[in-house]
Amino acid sequence: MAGASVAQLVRASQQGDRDAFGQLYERFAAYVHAILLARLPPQEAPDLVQDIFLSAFQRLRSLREPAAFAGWIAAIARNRAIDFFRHPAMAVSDDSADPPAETVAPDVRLDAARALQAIRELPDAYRETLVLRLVEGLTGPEIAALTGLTPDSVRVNLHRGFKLLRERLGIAT
Amino acid sequence: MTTSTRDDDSNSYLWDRSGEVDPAVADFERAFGPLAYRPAERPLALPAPPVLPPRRWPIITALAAGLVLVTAASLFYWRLQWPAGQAWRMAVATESGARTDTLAVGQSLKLDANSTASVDIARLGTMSVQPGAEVTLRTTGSRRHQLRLDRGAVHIRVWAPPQRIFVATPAGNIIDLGCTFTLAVDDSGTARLTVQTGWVQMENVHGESLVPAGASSVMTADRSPLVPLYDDASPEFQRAVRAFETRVADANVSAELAAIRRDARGRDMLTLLMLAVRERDTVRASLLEHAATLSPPPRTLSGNPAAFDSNAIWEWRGSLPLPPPKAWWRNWADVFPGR
Repeated sequence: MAGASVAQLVRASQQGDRDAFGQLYERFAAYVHAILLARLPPQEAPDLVQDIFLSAFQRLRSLREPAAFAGWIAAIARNRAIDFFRHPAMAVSDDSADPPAETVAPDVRLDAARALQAIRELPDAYRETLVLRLVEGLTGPEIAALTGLTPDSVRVNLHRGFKLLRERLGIAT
Repeated sequence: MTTSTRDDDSNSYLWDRSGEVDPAVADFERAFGPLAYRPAERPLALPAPPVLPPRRWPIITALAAGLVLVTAASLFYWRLQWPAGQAWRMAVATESGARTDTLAVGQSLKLDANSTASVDIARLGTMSVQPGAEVTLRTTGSRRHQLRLDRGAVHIRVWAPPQRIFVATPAGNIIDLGCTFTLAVDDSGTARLTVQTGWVQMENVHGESLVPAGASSVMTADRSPLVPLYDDASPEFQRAVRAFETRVADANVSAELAAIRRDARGRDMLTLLMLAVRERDTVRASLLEHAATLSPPPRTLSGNPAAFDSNAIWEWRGSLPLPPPKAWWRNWADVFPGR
């Protein structure tokens, strides 16, 4: 189903097409990861992404409007992030943990952790957009297409959020 | 991190990575790059689809239903079978006690005023013989069983396809159509029939009459069986109908006719039409005219109902809301004793 729309992939998945759901995963995994990364310790996010998609696969029949998949999966991810902090055993995770050591150069490790923490302290509207751009590597138009936001909104969120981020980190313009 | 950057909306590198590389953005990209989620490196491990157990219930249900059908058909076939000439079983209760016995072909059962008998009609049903009755078993067999009732009363319950039981009387024959009925023959040889379920046919050399459940009729040897009369019809209506039917030729029946027209109900349409089909001219016209006011003829019949011929009357009768005479299976409850 290469080139299929999100709605087509959702409908096929609802009929049990596992390959179609695999394509949904490939398209939306970064979005879900960004939502989690904007709220949780980074080492917790990857496993939660898998859990969220597995849960979504089992609940997909409850999604009545296939085209609304992006908002639906995003809501699941945000709720899961909230649940993370409600669960005492999970919430003790070290929030300042470094990014995976084997893939991050020592000279940037501290900066990345600080910067990510700074992003998580930004207003909601900026956090996910900045993570999608700076962490997941998506462009503004790609973010707009993925999230359903208008390109103008994404552009405003990106520039204002980035300005605030620099200010929080004390990075001069 | 590099500190040089642009913070206005013209930063196209921040927007879509076009134009001149913004060093500050590039610094963040390098720092965050290892955190990016790459689905290809983390394939989603969907749980294997559940292996559903084979759906056996439909097969079991079908097999059970088939077994039930085959068993029921076998039982029904067995129920109809009876070796030709084989005697019936019966239980006779007399003043001196009860005894079981058989009623052989050619044998007569004569009961005194204090005795009764319960006779198994092969496997098709039962016959309750009332005190003072005289019954003779004439033939038995899978296709037909024949009796003769010379006097007294019997109550017969049969659940089987039509025309398995024939009862001869001095007035004519009674033929079951899958039913429960009571038949009495008096000393003059008159047969009186009351039907509880199904239909019963009365016939003699003069004609025939089909009697439905809830109705009665009378048969004498000198005339056609009388028309069926529902037992819940008014006594005046019943008296008028019987007097009308049994009048001597050319007698003035205007009073009876008037009573029939006055007291007939919608349920008495069968009686009215069966009377009318046996009459002619003005009497038939009068009966039909009144019948049309109780239950109009079907649309397939046109013209003045008072002028209908016999064929039209039979068609009208066929349109009445009565159970089909040969739908014997509808009286399935007759298979159980106590009816």
